[in-house]
Amino acid sequence: MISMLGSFSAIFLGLCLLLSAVFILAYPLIRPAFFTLHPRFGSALLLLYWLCPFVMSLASTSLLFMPEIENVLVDSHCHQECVSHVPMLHSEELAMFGLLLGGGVLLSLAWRCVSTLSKSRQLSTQFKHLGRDLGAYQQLKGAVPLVFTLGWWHPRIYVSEGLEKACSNTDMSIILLHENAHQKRRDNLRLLLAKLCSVILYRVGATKMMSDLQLLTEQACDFSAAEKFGYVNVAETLLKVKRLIKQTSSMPTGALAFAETDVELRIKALLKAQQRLQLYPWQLGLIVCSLLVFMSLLISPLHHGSEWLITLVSHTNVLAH
Amino acid sequence: MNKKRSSSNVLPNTLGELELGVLEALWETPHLDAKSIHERIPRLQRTSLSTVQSTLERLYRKEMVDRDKRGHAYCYFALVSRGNLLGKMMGDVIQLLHDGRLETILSSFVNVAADMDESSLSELEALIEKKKQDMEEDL
Repeated sequence: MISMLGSFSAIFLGLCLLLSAVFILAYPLIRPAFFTLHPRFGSALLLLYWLCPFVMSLASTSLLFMPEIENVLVDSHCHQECVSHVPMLHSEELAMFGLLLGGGVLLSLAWRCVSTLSKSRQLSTQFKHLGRDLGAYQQLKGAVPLVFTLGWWHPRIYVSEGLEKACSNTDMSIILLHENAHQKRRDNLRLLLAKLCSVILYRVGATKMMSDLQLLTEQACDFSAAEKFGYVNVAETLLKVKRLIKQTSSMPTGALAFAETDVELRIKALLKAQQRLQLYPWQLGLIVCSLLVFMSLLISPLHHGSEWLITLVSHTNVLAH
Repeated sequence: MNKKRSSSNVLPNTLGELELGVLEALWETPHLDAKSIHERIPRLQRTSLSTVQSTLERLYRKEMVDRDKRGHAYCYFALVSRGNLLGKMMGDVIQLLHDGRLETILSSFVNVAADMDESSLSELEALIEKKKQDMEEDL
């Protein structure tokens, strides 16, 4: 059992690291494509791209350890006996090391998930107690202009009185439509998923992909509000709120003065909305099918690669099971 | 002496559900003893009197409430108003957004962390105006 779990864990982690490196290296090439699509599709596909190394490694490794499926996907070959087999570590130390490594990653993921959940609950509880429920949103008494959506599964919108007073009815409707889109899309949950998968990804690639995902997510909600109020009106509201926050903010300035900020990119995206491409259902289906085909093609080289690596590491022959 | 704040607390001014319940009771009616506060806490949240007493002690140490002795019992009153506490918490949220520590917990309409200078904002304003003019000409 330890040998099986240890082998599974070692192969999964190795494959995940390898695929992560490939996906990160390919990202600069594929990145412009995400930004030419309508942000609704761009953000969904970027999330899929982000999750791919983790999900594909898990699925491929699971398939690798199912002899019935493996018979179909792996070209027939024999070691000492010609029977169905899965790659297995025979050194107990190596198996234990793989198991501990896998357990460590699993624990780290669980810890991140629980600590973020606890922070989210803490914030929700406090704001729920101190805010006033106005149906569509929770009103927070205070002059600071602030609006945000908090929570994962049932997100709530919070708007400060300061923002309500400074905005017109149209501005408020646009802001609420934008936040409603966050609620419907469960964007905080999407970002959490992406963040959790970045435990495996290398930090340098993860930071860039995370900021792109956040930008595309915001753009998707801007475009959703623009469907009712028009792209120019949403751009004007964004600029107005940004000015409002700038006037009242005591945060240090200048750090990002020369870089394009998210608001700048969002406004420019809204003004050039017609240039963004829509995806048809068949195109989305094609992308998913390609991924599935790629994953099934991965099984045979993965099987042989694992056996070769196990032989190399443990200096023993891979025995049939 | 203040107890060390739990590392899981996300906001510097963080309070638990029962602490907020106790404060609610004191905001509604100041100068209450532990027993009266216990009776005023909503039934769903209500715990034992001793838990309310320890919650009051915690709030006292956090300097959120003060007390004076009346007879054998302490009477408590809030030192922080609802508006002040909310203001502090909103400030904390902005600070945490600025530090990028809330990215998976909440989404804000405009990124408060990224600052823009006035000329960039004016440039964007000009772009919007130009787009409006183009749209009018097309009509």
